[in-house]
Amino acid sequence: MQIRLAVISNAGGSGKTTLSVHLAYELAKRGFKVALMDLDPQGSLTLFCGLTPPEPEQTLAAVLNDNFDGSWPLIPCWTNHIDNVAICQGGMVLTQTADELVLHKRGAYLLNDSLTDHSLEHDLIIFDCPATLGPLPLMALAACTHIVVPVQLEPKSVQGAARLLEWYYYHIRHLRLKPQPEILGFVPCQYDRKRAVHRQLNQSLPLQLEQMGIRTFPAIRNSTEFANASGQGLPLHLHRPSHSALADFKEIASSLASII
Amino acid sequence: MSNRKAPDLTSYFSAAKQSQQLSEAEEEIQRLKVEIEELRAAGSNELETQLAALREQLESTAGILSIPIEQIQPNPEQPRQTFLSESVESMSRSLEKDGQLEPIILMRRGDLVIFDGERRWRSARALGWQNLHAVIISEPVALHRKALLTSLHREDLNPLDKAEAIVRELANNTDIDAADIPRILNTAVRRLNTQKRMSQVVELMTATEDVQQQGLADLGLEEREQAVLGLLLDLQINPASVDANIFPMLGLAPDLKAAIRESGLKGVHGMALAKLNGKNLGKTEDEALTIRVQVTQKVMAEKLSATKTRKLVNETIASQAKEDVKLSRNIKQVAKVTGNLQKLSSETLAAAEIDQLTQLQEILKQKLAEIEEIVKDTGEDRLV
Repeated sequence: MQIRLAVISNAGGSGKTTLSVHLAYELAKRGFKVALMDLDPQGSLTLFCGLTPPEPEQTLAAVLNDNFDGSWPLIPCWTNHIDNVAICQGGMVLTQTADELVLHKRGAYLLNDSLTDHSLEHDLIIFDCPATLGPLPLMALAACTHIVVPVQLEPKSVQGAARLLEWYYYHIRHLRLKPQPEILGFVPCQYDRKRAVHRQLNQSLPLQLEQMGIRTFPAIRNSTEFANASGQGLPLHLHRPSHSALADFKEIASSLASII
Repeated sequence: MSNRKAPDLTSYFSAAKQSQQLSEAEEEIQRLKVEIEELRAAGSNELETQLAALREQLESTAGILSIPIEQIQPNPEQPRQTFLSESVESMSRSLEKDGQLEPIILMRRGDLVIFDGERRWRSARALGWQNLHAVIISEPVALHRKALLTSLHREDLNPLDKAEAIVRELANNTDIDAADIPRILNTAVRRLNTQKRMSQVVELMTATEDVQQQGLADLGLEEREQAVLGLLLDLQINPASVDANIFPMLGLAPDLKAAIRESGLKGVHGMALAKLNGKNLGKTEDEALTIRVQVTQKVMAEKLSATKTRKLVNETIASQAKEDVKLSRNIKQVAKVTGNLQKLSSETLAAAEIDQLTQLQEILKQKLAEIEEIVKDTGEDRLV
């Protein structure tokens, strides 16, 4: 089946784009066709994928337009290495879209409508959401089959992630989503095992989530090479093919592959 | 190492957990509504089988009660809204002739509201009856409903499978060995019965889990007993009934277990037939097996009721005993005559009348011929 994975977190810098990009590459390497969609006005995916900033009509905003004709603005990326990852870019125009969504009759359902009316053949579609719980992530929630929550192992981020769960349970009912998107799990990011609070939270967070029946994936370790790779517009796989942090993505990638 | 206090994640997540529970509860309600609709739509035949299963389950867990008719209220949500007067009348005739065959099902919703059996209730009222046999669903709260609905869907579960499922469930949730579970329950139930406190346990069935655990703790049970009883209550099954009706299935002879599993022999019939054992029949277990298999086949072929089966079993045991008595009495007679003949001295014979002697001679000749015939036949049989 086609997996539509919303990467949601209401804290900035929790590793949403890093997780999106690396999952896209991992799954593409396993032979799946992947589309990355940037719902973030900051357009971080453009940077992480080494693309140039798009014209407004070549972003996700065009897809959400009432006159969308089904020609998805999908740009292939990392084409020197693979041919099965494409990106629907974001950009500042999405701030305007977010404002308009509020008044639109189909508001939260627009992205899902476009995906239903003009379906994509990709095995995995990843929605990289902005660091808020506003109208754009809500639209991703209504369009996705699964969500994954990256969380930094800092009290503020963890508390924010707990709020995110309240938001999730409220809106799946309020939007009457059927079938309801599933929480694939939490992914602790930027884990620094030299820091006591990281170690503590890396132990206690899974216990809390387990009580709620939510899976916690292995933590992605902290490394400056992630920042370096994003500066090159590449996933770490291509920037430092033998980096030890690459192993951290295996479990969640396998979990996705098994559902697809 | 600094002794820094860890962030209190439980408080971070408490609201999220509440939202999750709320969401799940609503989902559950939706699902149940759909399921009820499906049940209603699934056609009366299937509904009848499911009601029968529900009735049976309630009978075994809480027993059949006699409820005054004026305490029973019709259900405003009754799916069958038309009650033809003919149909009520025909039910009245049946009630008058055969009595009430099956208990009605009531829900405790403030009043006792009819879940199934409105036609019987109307008929009984028309006949001026005072009471009806009924089984009661305690409270249709979501969880209990879920349990009931689940069991509705498991109507094909025979008591033997049920016994094994319960033992498995208990063994999985405790560290008690599966083989010990029936004995532990039996000990506890027997003791509670002696102490006249079993009814306290049964009352806990409809209580919340906390109340159940507290209630059991108050009974001063052994740890393993408390674990077993607690889990049974949590499953909404009556421990006394499990001990009396379900677990004994595990001890049935293999032929009866097979009949239950493969030929749909009912549990009560199985228990009745189990009496046909070597000890009761005064035979070896192999001989008893032959008799038991014959009787079991008869019970199933003629679809005998539980009462008739018990009667047949008792008759079989009695006739075996009678045959034995008859046989031994006959053998005694032969021995007695042999003895008497030996005692017959030549002096006595000499003193007898000639008529008497001729008569005796005739009888002896005749008997001798008969004996020779029998000895010849059985002699050949024995040689073979």
